[in-house]
Amino acid sequence: MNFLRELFRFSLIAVGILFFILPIYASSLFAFQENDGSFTAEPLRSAAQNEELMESLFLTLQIAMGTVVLTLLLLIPTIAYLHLVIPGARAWVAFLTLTPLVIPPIVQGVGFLYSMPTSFKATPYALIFAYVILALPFSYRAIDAAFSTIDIRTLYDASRSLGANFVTVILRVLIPNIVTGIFGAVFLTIALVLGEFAYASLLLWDTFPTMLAVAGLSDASTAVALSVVSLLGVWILLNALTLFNRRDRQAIPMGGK
Amino acid sequence: MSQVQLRGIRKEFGKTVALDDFNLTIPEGTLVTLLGPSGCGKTTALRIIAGLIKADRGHTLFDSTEMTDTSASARDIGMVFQAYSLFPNMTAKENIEFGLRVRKESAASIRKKSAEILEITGLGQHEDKYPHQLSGGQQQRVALARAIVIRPKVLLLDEPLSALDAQVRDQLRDEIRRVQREFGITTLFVTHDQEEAMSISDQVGVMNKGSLLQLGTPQSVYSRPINPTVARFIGTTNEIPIKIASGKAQLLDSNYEISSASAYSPNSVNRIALVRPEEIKLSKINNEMGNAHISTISFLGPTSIIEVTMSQGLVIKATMSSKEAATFAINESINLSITSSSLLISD
Repeated sequence: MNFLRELFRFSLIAVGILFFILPIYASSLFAFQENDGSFTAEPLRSAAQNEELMESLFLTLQIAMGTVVLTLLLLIPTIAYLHLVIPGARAWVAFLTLTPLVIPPIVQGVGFLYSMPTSFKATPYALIFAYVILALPFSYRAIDAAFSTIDIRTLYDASRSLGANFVTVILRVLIPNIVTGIFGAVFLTIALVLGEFAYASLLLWDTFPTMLAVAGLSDASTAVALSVVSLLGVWILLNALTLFNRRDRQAIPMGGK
Repeated sequence: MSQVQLRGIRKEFGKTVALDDFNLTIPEGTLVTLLGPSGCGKTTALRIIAGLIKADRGHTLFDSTEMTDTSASARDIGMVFQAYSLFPNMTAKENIEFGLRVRKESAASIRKKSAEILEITGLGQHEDKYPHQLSGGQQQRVALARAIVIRPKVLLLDEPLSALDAQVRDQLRDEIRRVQREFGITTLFVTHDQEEAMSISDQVGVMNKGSLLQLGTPQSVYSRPINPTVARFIGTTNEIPIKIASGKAQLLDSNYEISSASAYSPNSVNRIALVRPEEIKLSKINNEMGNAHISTISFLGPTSIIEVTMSQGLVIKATMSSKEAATFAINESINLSITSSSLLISD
């Protein structure tokens, strides 16, 4: 009975791993293997020489950076305020942040286009605002969960009693104690921006994912090679987050002995 | 250091009135304790002084300076909380230096003051430890050092000992008193622990349902409670049914004067005398029936508690030295009398 249970568990894990590994493995073979079986980095070299693709990658990284900064500026004080002043509203706000998951991208895209001021419509950086909302279901939860692990009321009151103003409390007391959540929000937001296609395509901006799709039409191996590399990049980011999470929990847990 | 005053404070939380026309004066350099059951408003009063809660009505004054609308960060207070409140990302030393850094003191001044407070509180060997590497008692000592190092006008202690075990609690209690006296800081201490309040305070304020019932020295509050509610809350009290005739309380075939602090309705038939266990005197009798017999003897070290059952079934507690208690035996028939000259009477 135990053997069967172990076998079932092992099979389940093996299927899970294969589900993730096989497509990446197959894509890697397709992109990096020559006809004679040897391997080549030519697709990456050709991608690096593709100026449009590199420009779109640079633009996407800038948008990712902007999205991360705006997300943190918006969420950290807001969630701190929710925890401190209106904790009863947290459930409602959490529910609201889920809306990007249930509204179809076409509806969001068109709504976004209509609601943007005209001056914003002319720049791809307008996507930052859309991506902040799109990343909310993940970024909000990561930061909210981190705030829930600390006694924010006592830390806030202690800081205030020692003479700290709200900004000092946020910067020197709260942020250092929710670093794990912040990193989670940052990595998940970057991963989302690096892979977001629907908005950029609908709004006709050449970001990395849309250019990747275009490149795939003419040079499939380059597009697949870049997909594999960006997938691995995101995978490394998420693993770094997990490792950081574990190390952080060992280093500074709350409470005493 | 400042004198602290709360004048005519009212605070409501929804439909609950936490404080109603609350007045309190903490003389400069003294340690005043607010004592009362959970929910009586003592922490609300402390947080209003801290500026962490805004009163609906009334004034907060430090000396003669109006502080009612001053934010917590500008009040120049030090505070120690019931929950461990050290910043987890900082070492003990960094926690202590936080308030000095916020005040933008010079590096030399920060070094000098933190070294001084670390020595006074005996935390030198723990200065580089993070909060999770410190015991509960050590964390609260760091919190105390952090509150004192900024030389606040007022030190506010919100049940700082309640999460600690008995031995550590006693040590830290003594340390709080020592440091408070050394620095001469005006201090408000909030607790529901009577022993803690009695042992540490210059004055004790007994609170109930949002009102300050009595403020006085620990001795006066204990021995001259202003009304039955205070008497019942402070220490142990026997409640003995009595009759009143010709303006005197009749109890155990004797007449007693009635304390002026008594609070009872003149129309009620049944009244209660509130008598401290140490005011009950037991005496041995020879060959005749006494008015009571001993049901239990509890040894508490230097003192013992003897429970006496009266002929009507009423159980009364008497406290005496263990040496004296050793002369009595369980089931022994005894006579019981009361040593006080006047009784506190309640309905």
